[in-house]
Amino acid sequence: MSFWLLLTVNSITFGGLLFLLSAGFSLIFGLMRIPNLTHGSMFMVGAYLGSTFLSGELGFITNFWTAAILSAIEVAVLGALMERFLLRRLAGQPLAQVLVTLGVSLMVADLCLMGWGGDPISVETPSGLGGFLRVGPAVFPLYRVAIIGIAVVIAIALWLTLERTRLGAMIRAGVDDPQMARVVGIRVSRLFTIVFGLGAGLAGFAGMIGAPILSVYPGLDQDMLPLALVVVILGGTGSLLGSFVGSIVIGFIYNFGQALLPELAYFILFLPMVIVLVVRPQGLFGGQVL
Amino acid sequence: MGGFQASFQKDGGCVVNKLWPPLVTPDYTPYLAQIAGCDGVCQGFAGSNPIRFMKQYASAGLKYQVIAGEAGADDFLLKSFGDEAVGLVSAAPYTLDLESDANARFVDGMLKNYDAIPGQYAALLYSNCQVLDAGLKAAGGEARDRDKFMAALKSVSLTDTPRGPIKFDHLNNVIGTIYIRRLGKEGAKYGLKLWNKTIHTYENVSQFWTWPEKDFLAHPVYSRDYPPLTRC
Repeated sequence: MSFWLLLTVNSITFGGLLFLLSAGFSLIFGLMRIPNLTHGSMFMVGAYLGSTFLSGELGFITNFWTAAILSAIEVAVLGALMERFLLRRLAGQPLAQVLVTLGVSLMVADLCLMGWGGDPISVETPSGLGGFLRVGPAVFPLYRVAIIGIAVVIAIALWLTLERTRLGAMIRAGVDDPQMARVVGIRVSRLFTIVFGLGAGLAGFAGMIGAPILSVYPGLDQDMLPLALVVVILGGTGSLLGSFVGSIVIGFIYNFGQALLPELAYFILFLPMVIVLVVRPQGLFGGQVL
Repeated sequence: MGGFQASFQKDGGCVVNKLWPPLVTPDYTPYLAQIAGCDGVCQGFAGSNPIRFMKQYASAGLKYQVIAGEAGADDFLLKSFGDEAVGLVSAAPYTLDLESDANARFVDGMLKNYDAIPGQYAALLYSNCQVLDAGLKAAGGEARDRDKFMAALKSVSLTDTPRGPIKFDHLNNVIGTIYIRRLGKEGAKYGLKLWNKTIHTYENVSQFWTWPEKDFLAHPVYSRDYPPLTRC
């Protein structure tokens, strides 16, 4: 019994983490029509920066949450700069843009290796969340339950931003029809920079939030990127609901697949993606075919 | 892991379950959720995975004693482990806390030249090069005569390696000391907070452990299914 409960809670936790990672990925994909292959790198850089803030090596001590927000801001700035000075120059050439993001991701991986070394860095669970939540016979790590809460709060904030603000309306217009959005006077290029920065920042934030569970190590980027891809293809690009549902579904498949069919863990992780691509290429909630 | 299971069962131990996470697993919880009803857990992870495993193991509320091979508690991981790893018992062919002149020289050199606290990967490779060096010297600095060089290599026997004395068996596999360590805080050096403290030493351990060579070689090759789980 507690086996199923623990796995269920963990599936939702992992789904929450995947949502933080893939929400930005989905928006970037939907708006700019490119899979941003540096997204896993943003996740990793966020975790590395956060762990550095936390260690106090920079001369000031921060707590976990400040470190997470600081690293999210830094990664957002990095993302925005990359969009403005690299991807903008290749506007309208999706293939070139994808290749640039791939190249940058390899460079970032090597720079991180130079900067932080090859040894894994383990990040302490934030104080107060190291304990357990007891529900009947089952024991849940408190931090994992907290991640679910964080994901829900971010999801609501993103949803309100997209649905209720002028910026959100412009982003939705850009996702639906970038040409028409330009015609009615929306500065779509600037929107690209904002969304890219926002997505990168969210990925960086997710990296730090995930760090107490996953720790930080070279190769973390390549472990996370395929998961973000699966989520977005499953849920549909440019759709917040899509990445939310996709994340939870992948969280469940990932956890239960590994527990029940360990030999086929990766197969059944990517199987839904293949089926969706064949049967409904726009994804479960997406508006357009990729 | 096969070697552990075979020897453990030979000595009357009972393995109730075997789980096979992929080599790199970001989250071990799906496997941890299946651990129950045992006295201890033997983990065979390598690289950065033992750190995540020990952390997630603790945060899943599991309390069974954990044991590991050389990679699962390697000394280079000591700076990254947290308090949850305290109590981890491991068997390794090299241990940082070995008090010998050869090891002190090696560790000092690693700290001075590479600013790194070595673990078994560095120590074993260093010992390999010592063997090569001794073989070359015995062959008069000449490796072009392959047969002569190979014969020299095979008869190398060293006492001054960081891992302690080593020699080779007739199948050219190493015979050396295996150190059993318990991870704790006592005796930590080099600015580390945690330390693998040697609690037992087995000398002259060959690849066959306590098995007669013929019996050992008659076994099928270790795999997921061999040795099989037995009813206990």
